[in-house]
Amino acid sequence: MTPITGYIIVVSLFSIVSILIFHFFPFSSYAYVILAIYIIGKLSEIKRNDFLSLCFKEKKLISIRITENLLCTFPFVFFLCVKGEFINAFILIVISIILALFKYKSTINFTIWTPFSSKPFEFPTGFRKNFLVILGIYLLAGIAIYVQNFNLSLFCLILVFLNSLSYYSMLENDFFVWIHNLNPSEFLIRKIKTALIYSTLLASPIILALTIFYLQNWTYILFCIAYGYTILTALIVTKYSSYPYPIPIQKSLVLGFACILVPPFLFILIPYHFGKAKSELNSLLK
Amino acid sequence: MISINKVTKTFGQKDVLKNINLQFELGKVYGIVGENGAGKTTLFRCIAGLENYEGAIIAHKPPLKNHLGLLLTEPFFFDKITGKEYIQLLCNARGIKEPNISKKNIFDLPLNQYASTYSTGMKKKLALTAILLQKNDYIILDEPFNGVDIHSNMIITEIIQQLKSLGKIIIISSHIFSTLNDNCDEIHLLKNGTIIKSAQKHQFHELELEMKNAIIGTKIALLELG
Repeated sequence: MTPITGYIIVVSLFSIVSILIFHFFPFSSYAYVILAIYIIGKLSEIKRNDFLSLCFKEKKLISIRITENLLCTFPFVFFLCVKGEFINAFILIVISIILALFKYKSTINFTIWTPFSSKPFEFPTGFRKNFLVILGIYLLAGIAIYVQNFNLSLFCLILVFLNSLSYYSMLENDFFVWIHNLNPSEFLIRKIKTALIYSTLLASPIILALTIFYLQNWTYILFCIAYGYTILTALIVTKYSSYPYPIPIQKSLVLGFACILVPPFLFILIPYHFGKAKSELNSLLK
Repeated sequence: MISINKVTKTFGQKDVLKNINLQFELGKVYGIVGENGAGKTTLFRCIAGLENYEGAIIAHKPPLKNHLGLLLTEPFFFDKITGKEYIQLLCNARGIKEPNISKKNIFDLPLNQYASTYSTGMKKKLALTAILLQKNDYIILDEPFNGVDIHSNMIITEIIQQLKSLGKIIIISSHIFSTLNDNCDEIHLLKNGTIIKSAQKHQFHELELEMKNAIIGTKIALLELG
């Protein structure tokens, strides 16, 4: 894959996510600014800035930090301008310049409680990294039910499963596969089982609320849960079908295409990747 | 028993292990010494089955990997996983139900904190606790004393002796000769992927002197410290 393909994918993904935020979120421009600040804020991480301050003199460092913050802010500012949100775009530029002057710990080190502790590692780590996202989804689902927007509340249910997908994006060290006294099939089935049980647990507040308020639409609710299960299973088997390497871009595109546009195709992909995953894991799980 | 027969490991054009032949018997502690890059970790990874190799490694309880506890030089920890969850992960992997992890926290580790925030020594002690709770028959400890405080050092030495008395096979690598001297029944010297010398307990002093002469030689004099 050439770098230009990567740029095109990144720009396309950014545009799609931005459009989705503006389409689905109430007060979307504010949510968009907050998201931008959150991402840019990562550049103010204390360790990173300490390293930069060792490399550059103070004046040079400030100009570098302002430049990189403005560069990272640019796509957000551009999109806000396209949407006619000039004041928010201006506020975002000012905040990104101010943020460049500070350094702070962007990660929280206190232990966040998780209901997934008994089966590490994907869900406990993923939940802790994204717990604000989960809270946001729950809040949005609450608002959707309050304003009687069934489609949005259903979308929130799918969002929970999409968020769970991110827990499986990390490629673990071969040691953490090797430690299992399972054969490849048992290993994969255990991974899938845990993912389905825990994603159901994570989605249960929304499922419960939907069942209470929209019981007449139970088929849609069931369909969304089944869709969530299928995409999770598909990602897990695809991940291990390339193990110990990350999922190649072509496979990711096929998976993304199948998940978004042709979900029935996943029923061909899953058994195919399951077989591939079994042979890839064979050397570690003899 | 673990029997290593004619094991050779190659990375590209480079032979990292060359025709290794070793026998490890039950209830004994073995030391593997060698300079950085001599092939110690690769040998351990081959024994564990984490690397493909030529030759054969046979254990009396097959498959070897399901009875092996492996302490890596630098154990890997996920972000946002607590010490307790790390132990849980390793126990789950072997189907071991350990209801009271906190009670077995002999190194007094802050098990509810994220393991990634631990110091080097604490990480090592956490990884060691986890493999001990797995109740393995074979244990490989790659640099177990590295970064560990003196108190824990004593505890680890005692644990090794207890494991030995339980009839387990323990293989240790260490850059601190005295720790091997205290713990091992036999030491193998690995150089450029080959076992160049094996010493029984009564030959350890001789081996140490030999290594000192070979490694230090006249190097210190080059610094002209005086």
